Amino acid sequence: MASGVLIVAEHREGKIRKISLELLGLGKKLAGNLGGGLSAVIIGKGVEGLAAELGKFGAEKVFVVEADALSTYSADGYAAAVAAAAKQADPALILIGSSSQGKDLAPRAAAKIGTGLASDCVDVMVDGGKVVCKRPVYSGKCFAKTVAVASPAMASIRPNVFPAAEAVNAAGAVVKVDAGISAVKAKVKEVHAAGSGGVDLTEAERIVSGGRGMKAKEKFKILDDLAKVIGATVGASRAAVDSGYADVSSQVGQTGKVVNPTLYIAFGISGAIQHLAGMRTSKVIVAVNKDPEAPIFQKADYGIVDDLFKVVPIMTEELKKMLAE
Amino acid sequence: MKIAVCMKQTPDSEATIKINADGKGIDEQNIKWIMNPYDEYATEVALRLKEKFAGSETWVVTMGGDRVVESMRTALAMGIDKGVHLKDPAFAGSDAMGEAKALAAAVKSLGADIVLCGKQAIDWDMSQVPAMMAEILGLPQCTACTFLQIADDGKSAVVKRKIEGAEETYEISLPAVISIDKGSSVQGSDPIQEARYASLPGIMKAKKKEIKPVGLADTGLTAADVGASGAKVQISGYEALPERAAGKVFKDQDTAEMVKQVVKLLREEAKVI
Repeated sequence: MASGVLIVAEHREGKIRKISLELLGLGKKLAGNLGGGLSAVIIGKGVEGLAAELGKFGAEKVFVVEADALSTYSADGYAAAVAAAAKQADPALILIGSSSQGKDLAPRAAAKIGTGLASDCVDVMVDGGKVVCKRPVYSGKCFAKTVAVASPAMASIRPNVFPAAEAVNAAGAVVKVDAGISAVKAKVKEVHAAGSGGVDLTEAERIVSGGRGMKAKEKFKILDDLAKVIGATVGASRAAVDSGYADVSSQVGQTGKVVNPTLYIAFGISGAIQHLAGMRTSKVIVAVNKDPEAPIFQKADYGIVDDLFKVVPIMTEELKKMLAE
Repeated sequence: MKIAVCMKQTPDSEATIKINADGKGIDEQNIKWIMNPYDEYATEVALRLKEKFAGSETWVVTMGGDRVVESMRTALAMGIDKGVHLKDPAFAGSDAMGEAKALAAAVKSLGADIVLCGKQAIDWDMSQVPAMMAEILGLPQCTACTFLQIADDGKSAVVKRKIEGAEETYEISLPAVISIDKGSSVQGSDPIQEARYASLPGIMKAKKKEIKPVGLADTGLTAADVGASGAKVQISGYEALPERAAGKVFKDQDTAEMVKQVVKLLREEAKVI
């Protein structure tokens, strides 16, 4: 009888990624509602050492699936590994992060297992014994609630929505799973660092974003300075990217990245629907724009109608002073 | 090379979405339907591949009722050769798995060397169908692909995709399922930011191009595989977004004064600094 929650841990360069801890936190809560325990699966080669950390943050069992063929990521290899772990764990619910890897892996794993998937969820509940997921749809214009009718239920969880699990200082029991994976179809050959480094927009707590009002690529430097003061990642609107002021990797919006920071400060961004789709769940939104009619002022918690080039240096100074207090 | 583009018709991103009174569906009455923008990029990629690989055949494959034909004609007008329309009452209410099964059956019977999809449909933003199709077909996948370079012999490809702060490179054999992100480089091109417009001659030619209807029986699937009855995930309802309370907008004051007030509020009221 399927029970409990299995989370799919994500690791990179020998470290467990934060999303995995968020899944453990959510998983613990849901395991309580569903009945059964909380377990995790970690996949790769030479990753058994990471099991301890998953145990430390609440996984009672850690399924370890290792093989040479899994030494770097592959959707089909990892999907087979998830399926093998799920067969042993027999969970009622599988949670995976809606990170770049998770988006590539979760649907393939769902198809392999033969179950459905609710993607990029911002809430998961148990209602009458069934798993109900809430997720933004139509470019974030409303939420849809879906219920899993097949078992196990499977959901991918948007990063930076749920808090990380607290450390429980227990050791999870390691269960080695031989998934019999000897060859895969598409394996990562190389990984090259790209972008400016620092926290990825999709996982950032604070974001400082520039729009068409920035007028030039060089002018984005003033946002870098502000971002440094408050430990923020710099983003951009599509208009700024299309005008060549910023790289596409910093684009926030429907066709860019979906972000969920605690603080989003938008400079020279008008607030088109497609931009809002990427950032409207931000906890606090600050907008600075010369145009008092800019739609973004309807969604902002705080707004300043003024020239951003006058505002940015003053704001940088004021925040520096405040943080030094 | 045989190239299949899986295309979905979606509401225009500018559309106002109204939830029905019972909360169980959205009002489809006044919606403008378009080709999913990411599928437009996929169509553009298909056409560029067609240009590079002489003698290629291209198809647009779409599941839906009669209204999707208009968007299929757009793909044909852009230059795609033929259409395959998965049309059957049994398909109605399919979830992503059901849709993936039907599309997979269709592209398999075409003998496609490469299956192109947009990275997500802008109505449900799930990015599930391409990877599901790849698993069903037992093929390599690259989702949210930003770089595609198919070898001259058409048997393998180098593909790249972005992850947080980095880029992954894969070497895969064909056939494969590739979902395309905006700004992809194909066969050494600059990043593709826009799909081509259909020309007037293209639109005229499209009227005569074949769109073949494919029903459930033709796919070899059963009613249990697709439709609402085959769905593993069901929509239980829709919810409006919580309205953000009106914010404090400062204007017509000295710049420094306004900034100081906002920074103070960020600390004392919002408590985010």
